[in-house]
Amino acid sequence: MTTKESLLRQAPRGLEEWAMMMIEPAEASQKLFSATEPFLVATMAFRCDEAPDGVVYAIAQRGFCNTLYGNVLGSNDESEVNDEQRSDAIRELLNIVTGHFVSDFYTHDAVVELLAPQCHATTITEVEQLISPDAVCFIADDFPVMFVAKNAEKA
Amino acid sequence: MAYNILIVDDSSIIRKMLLKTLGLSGIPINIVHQAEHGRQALDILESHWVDLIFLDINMPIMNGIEFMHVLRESPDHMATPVIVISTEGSRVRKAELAELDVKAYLRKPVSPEEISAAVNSVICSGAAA
Repeated sequence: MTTKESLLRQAPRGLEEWAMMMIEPAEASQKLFSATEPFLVATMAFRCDEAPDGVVYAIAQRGFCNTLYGNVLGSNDESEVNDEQRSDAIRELLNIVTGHFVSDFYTHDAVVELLAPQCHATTITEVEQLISPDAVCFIADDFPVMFVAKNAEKA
Repeated sequence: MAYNILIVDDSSIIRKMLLKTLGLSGIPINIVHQAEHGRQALDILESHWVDLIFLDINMPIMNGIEFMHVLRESPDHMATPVIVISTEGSRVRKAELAELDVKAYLRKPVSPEEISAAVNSVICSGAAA
């Protein structure tokens, strides 16, 4: 099993089950994203005794994060979502996806230490570096979101 | 009887979701305290009585496992019921939490119905009193 296969299976737990978003898989490409909106990148590191440390990334833009926040809290007024709330929403989404990803990739018997997720605004340059054949992308309620795992290896 | 509840999670969206769920659950609630990590939760417990704790595991400063060890060593809180809501899936971690007398373990993503059922189960068992 590859990290891509695992992320394709586990990302819907956050997007569909938690945020109740309608999703469609898409090919990872910067063309999916708005050229004018800033990017948010959430990162979640994990440590596993039996393998090198790894990181899972979630990349999205304002529209996705507004919808995510509104869906989870059952609010329709996305104009009131602020930067901190957008950041919090994508961090928690990544927390859910990464937790299920490590169980799936390393199995439930592995003890994988998950570190608290972080989030920062970024530029297209960093996003371009994360777009790779390992990245998985979804169109969720009409907005793109991408996940990619780096350095996740099995011993 | 109305319950005092403590929510310990670094995610404000999860704390808000829990607040909303508790508000709609029909469970009688007096006060809901909120903490962003285990250290802050211990500070709250020093000056407030709490009947039930919702606890995340992966948090900065003091995580949920560290918090549970301190809580269970405290004479005032060694029996306070705790419901863990976490993304953790490790069997070893779950066994460790069971040994620390966690009353329920809910794996994220968790629905409002699952949260209400877990709270009712703890209340009906008489653990939250």
